[in-house]
Amino acid sequence: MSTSASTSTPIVELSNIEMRFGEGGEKEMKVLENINLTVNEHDVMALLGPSGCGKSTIMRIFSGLIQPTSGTVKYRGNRLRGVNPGVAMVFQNFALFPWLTVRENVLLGLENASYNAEEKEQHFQKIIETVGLDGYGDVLPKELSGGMKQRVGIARALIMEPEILCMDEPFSALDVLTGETLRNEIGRIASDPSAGFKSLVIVTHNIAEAVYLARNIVVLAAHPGRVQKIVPNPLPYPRDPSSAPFQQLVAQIHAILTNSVLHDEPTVTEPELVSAENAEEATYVPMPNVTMGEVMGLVQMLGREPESIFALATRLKKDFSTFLSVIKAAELIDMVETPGQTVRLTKAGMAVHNADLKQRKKLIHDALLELKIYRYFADKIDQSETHELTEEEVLNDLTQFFPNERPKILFKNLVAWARYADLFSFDPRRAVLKRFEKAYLGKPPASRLRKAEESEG
Amino acid sequence: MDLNPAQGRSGVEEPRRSALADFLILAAIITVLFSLIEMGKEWHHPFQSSVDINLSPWYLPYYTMLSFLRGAVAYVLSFLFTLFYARWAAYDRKAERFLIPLLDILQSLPLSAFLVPIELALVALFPHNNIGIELSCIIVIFTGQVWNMTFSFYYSLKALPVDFADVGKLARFTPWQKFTQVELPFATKGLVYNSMVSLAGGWFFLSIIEAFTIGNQDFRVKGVGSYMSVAQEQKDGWAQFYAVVAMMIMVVAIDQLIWRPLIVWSNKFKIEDTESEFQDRSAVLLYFSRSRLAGWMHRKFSNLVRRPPAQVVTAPRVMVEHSPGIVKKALERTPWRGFFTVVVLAMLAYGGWQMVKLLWEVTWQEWLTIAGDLLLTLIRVLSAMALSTVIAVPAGIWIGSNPKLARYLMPLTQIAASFPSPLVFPNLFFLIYLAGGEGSLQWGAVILMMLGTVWYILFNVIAGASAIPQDLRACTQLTHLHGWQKWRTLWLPGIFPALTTGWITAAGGAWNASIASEYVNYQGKTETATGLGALICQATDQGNFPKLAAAVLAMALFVVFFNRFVWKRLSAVAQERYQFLT
Repeated sequence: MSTSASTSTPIVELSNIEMRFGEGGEKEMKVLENINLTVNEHDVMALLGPSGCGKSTIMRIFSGLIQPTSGTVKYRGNRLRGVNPGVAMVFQNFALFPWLTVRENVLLGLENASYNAEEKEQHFQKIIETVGLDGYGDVLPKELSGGMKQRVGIARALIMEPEILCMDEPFSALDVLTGETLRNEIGRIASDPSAGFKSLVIVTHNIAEAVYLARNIVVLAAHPGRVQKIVPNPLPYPRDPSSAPFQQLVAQIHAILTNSVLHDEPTVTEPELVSAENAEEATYVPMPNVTMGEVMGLVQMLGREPESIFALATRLKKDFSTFLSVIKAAELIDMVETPGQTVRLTKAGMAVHNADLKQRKKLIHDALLELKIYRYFADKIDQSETHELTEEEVLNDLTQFFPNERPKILFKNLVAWARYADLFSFDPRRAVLKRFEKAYLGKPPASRLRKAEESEG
Repeated sequence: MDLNPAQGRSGVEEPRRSALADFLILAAIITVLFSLIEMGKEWHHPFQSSVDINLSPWYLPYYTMLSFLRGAVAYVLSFLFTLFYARWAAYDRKAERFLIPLLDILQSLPLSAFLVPIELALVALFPHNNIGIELSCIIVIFTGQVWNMTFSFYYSLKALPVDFADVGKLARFTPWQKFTQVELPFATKGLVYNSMVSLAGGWFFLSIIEAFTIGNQDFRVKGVGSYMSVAQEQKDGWAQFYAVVAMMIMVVAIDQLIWRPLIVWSNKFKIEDTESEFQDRSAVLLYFSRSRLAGWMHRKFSNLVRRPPAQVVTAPRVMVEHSPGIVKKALERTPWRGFFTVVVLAMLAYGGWQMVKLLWEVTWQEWLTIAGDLLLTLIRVLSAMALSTVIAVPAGIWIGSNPKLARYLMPLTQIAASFPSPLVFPNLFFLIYLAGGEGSLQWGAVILMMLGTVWYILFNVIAGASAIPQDLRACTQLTHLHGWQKWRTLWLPGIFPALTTGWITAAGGAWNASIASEYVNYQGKTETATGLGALICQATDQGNFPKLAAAVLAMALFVVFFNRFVWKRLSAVAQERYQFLT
């Protein structure tokens, strides 16, 4: 809200930020690593990246809502203590107080401003017109549609005249058309110098959205979240998404994301864990968070001819980074290969493509056993006295192998893939993992039957 | 319900996980059998005018077990009643219009008002052995437990998604299959939670009624409650300490060994398809699930549940499908229904007439006293709630807004709420007496009541505060609200729906505590506070039955109306205005 501060110092400066959750405990996980970012005046910055790259966490750190594990946050050159006084935020799920009217919700932004009642009302009228909600002042949020709720959220942030307007996936809870309309309006407000804020930071996973709005696009990589590249966007406002330079920039960012997700070095364990005798363990690769069904769908679509990843994602109307995870999963079990920005089936992938359901399970079964992580657990099950592993044992191992991942999600994927391939089965009642055994639908072998009779009395 | 097809049969040769777990399960079964036999012996005892309690701590496990069994038997009865009543109300539209309002009234009746009449009636019915007094224990606990369970099951049945019911129809489920495969799984979560609350309520009344004496009439039965009361009479400090410890062990053990595992187990009946990442865990459940014996019992039991009864399978389909209709029609055609109605109405009329005759004898001075005492008790109840709110709301918000703290403290408050506070009323009174001297129970009763109310409010406020969305909290931070502004905009409205729920439960608890807190026996002396609870006890002591009836009626009617016109409305406002959007 202050305008007197010097214009040359950046509004916010993040240096060497590192963030760990569950610190000290067994489930410690590194979320952010070595983040260095500067938000200058009159900047429009987009934080773009796949899920799990910590983009919302970065925003909450420079807002002062959460404290980083290490590194410094500076506001106007001074170390930030507590909540950032220059930040207002628009939330993905609106964060409106259901018991307050639209007017009361918006005026929360001025609760501690030094205006009198009349000035506050003037501000309110101006802002409510800007967001196109005049006449809705005394309505409760539950009577509004999603798009209108988000307009209230935007009004509440704008009325604070913040130095940085933060938007955390502001359009992703809305339907496509409403989101589009609202995005265009934000574009208009962002290029209007009288809008009441100096800089805009938006968190998004939508590439076109980032290119449409931002002057600087920060592309993030995941596990742990880190800055992959900062892409400046010199296109003049208003931007036309169908123009050639716009499309070029979108393609460029696709390439960066594809590289970071697919052609990344496999995530290895912490160096200190890689001692001489277990050096091999460094090649454990985590399962991406996708289902085998999605991978099979991809295998069905592809042939030996390379196809452009970006074009495929557009054709499938899939979110790009989610689609990249599917490709990564398929690549992991050697179903596809990804030369450059394209994807095609491998020989093994072709075999699966042509197989019937039964053969396919067998092929995937063998492909999974090629993975070190599955071989590890298969061996461990076979060697254990009871031929079972408890969920806790598996979780412990996963935490050891992949300190930057969430073990529960990994476990879920590990089991789901193995189930698909009839490799392991998991008994949820007793929480144990064991080798898959066929159910005896026909006559069980005689020896087994006898045993069963004995123990059932 | 097993996701894993391989498990069904191949599980027969499951490797042995733990011999100790098997042993513990067997031990539990034997203990239950033994206790049931012991309880039968107790029941055949000739009635004694005073209870025979041995204060040696070695007897305490035995007494605790008797107490537990009373609660357990009452719980089983409550469960059966719930299944019957809720299904009747949910499927018979005509009956529903009458059954549900009735249930609503029964639920808001202050049980403590009826404690004395029930006890007197049943002891009079079985004057020569302990059956009457034991039965009254069970009936009182039953009435304390049953209503919210019934409501929970009824609402689950009414909310049964049509799709699920249709699946049952298409698969031609027998009524038994429909019950076990569709209705029970769907209702399990609600039933488990309400059972937990119910059993806690049961211990509350158990501790009152086991230790029940009025004047020189001794209604005590062997149990933790009577052990404590005898210990208090004989000023045996160690024995009192042991009793409290025994009760605490029982409450904690039930929580850890029964409710925690049940809650985790009932999670599998969640209707959502997605698994949440943070699941409830129960080490106990996992431990026993991995035992071989448990696996065997699981298979046996689930076969029993899943396999339709043999004769139903062999009967022609048409017959099975139409039989309920036929039975129903037959019922309607026969004059039984009309006859039944006449009999019930006649009984009601007779009862009403007797009541009027009885009340006729109450003088107008007595009515005035009752009104005055009612007002005094009301003031105590309201002050107890106000004080509890002032303490529990800030504490609850502080705990609830701190997820780590909430995770540890919420189960603790639940356990604290399950501890039957009347057990220690006399001790607490003694402290109050030391502080305030003669007549201090007049205000001290409020403190005793608070012991019953504060936990309910605290528990609900913690739950409410931890359910406030993170983003709303972030928003108040970023708009720089502080101090009172934050309370006014965020915390107080945010917890309000939960707070009203807490208030309704707490009000019930406070009224129920009125007898035990206004009429306290300590070291052989009886101390009273002027109020309706004490008046009910004194009327019993004097054998003034008209006055007793009038007082019970006054308390019951007043509480029902107060519930209807104050709490229900408040809770409606809370739901309407202060619920979070989803």
